[in-house]
Amino acid sequence: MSHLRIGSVLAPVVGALLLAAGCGSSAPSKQLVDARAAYDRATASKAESLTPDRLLEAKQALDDAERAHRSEARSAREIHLAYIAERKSLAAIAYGEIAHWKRQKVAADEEYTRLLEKRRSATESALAANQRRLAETRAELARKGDTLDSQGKALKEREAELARKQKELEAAEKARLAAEKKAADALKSLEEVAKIKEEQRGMVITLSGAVLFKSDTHQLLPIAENKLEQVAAALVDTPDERQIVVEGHTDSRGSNAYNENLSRKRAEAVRTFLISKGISANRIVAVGKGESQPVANNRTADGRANNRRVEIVVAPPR
Amino acid sequence: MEARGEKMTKLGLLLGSTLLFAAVGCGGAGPKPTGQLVAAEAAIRGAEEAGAQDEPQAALHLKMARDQIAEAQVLIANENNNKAGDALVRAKVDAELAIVLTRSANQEADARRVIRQVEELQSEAGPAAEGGE
Repeated sequence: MSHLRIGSVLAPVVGALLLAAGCGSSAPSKQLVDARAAYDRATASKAESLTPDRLLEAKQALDDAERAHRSEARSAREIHLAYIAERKSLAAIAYGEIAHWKRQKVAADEEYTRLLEKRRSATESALAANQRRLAETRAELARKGDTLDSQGKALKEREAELARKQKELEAAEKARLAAEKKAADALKSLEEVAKIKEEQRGMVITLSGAVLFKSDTHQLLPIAENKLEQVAAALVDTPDERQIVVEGHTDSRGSNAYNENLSRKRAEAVRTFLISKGISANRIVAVGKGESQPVANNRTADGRANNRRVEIVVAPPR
Repeated sequence: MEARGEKMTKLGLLLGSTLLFAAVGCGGAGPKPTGQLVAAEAAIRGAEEAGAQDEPQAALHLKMARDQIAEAQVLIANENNNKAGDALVRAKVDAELAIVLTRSANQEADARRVIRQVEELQSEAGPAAEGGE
């Protein structure tokens, strides 16, 4: 009876010992060692703060494996559960990483948006500033363009005025030359009635005293008037600015004073006649030279006849 | 004599129950682990779709999951269904770990890409622009 009781008590112990001997010693399996190390890494990882629920799952899986180990060290159950526990710890670490990088990405996205917005607003203000400058430049250009236009217009008007004046000058010059030519031609035509001589003081028209006056008078002979009319016609055509000097000359017979007086009166008579034929009084003067400027010998009759004369001096063109 | 026969019977019963207990503890013939097989295979497909084969660590666990499915199928063929069930549970855990590792790598790559873009923007703007407000 007592033997039986002892046997009943020992039987489960022997069975457990047999089982323990059949499946291994009390040292943990390699898988449990790995699972513990993986869990240690997980507790030190970002999972601890970011994904504690995953870490708890890993802890529970490791607890299961530890229980299996305590129940039967190195058993297939321990190995199986430790295998699972190690992966749960690795997964917890990875979940922690995911949460960490999610946060990083959210922050980076926000920063990216902020920078883009900043750049956009900087670009917009730069654009606005550029547009403002452009508008100012355009306005300035328009202003300068207007000024240039008005200056150009004034310049054109001035050029036109100059051209007109130039034309007028040319026409006047042409007219003057034509008048000169006409006058010269007219004076030349006098060669039939008078002696024509070009001197430095101008064109000298010499009329013989015998042809113009009776002896010792300053009365113009009728024939003289014909000749003087031709002279007047030629002189009328000469330009106004050419002054005309009528000089009376005598021979040396008689006194100087008498001769000078006579020659002046004769010159006056010619001047009066020329004025009556249209020569402006302003441009014509009469001078009595007497016997002071003979052109021939007073000792001969011919010489004296040549010295009695009236010279009409037409000043040269200016 | 009768007491001795009873003792022998009890010892036989004890030995038999111990052997049975040992057999159950080290694996045996339960029902076919169809549910675990389906779950493990689904997890492997999930890992493949996530791109686990392109991430070294994830690829390693994906291979472990496949190996364990192959092992489980041999065990099922040998009618060792309990062991096969455990292998399938491990296969599923490995495949799920492969998925998480892949997601983690992708998330990190995503974040680093944006961080790089931010750095590019900052370097384009220049330090003076950044600090000049």
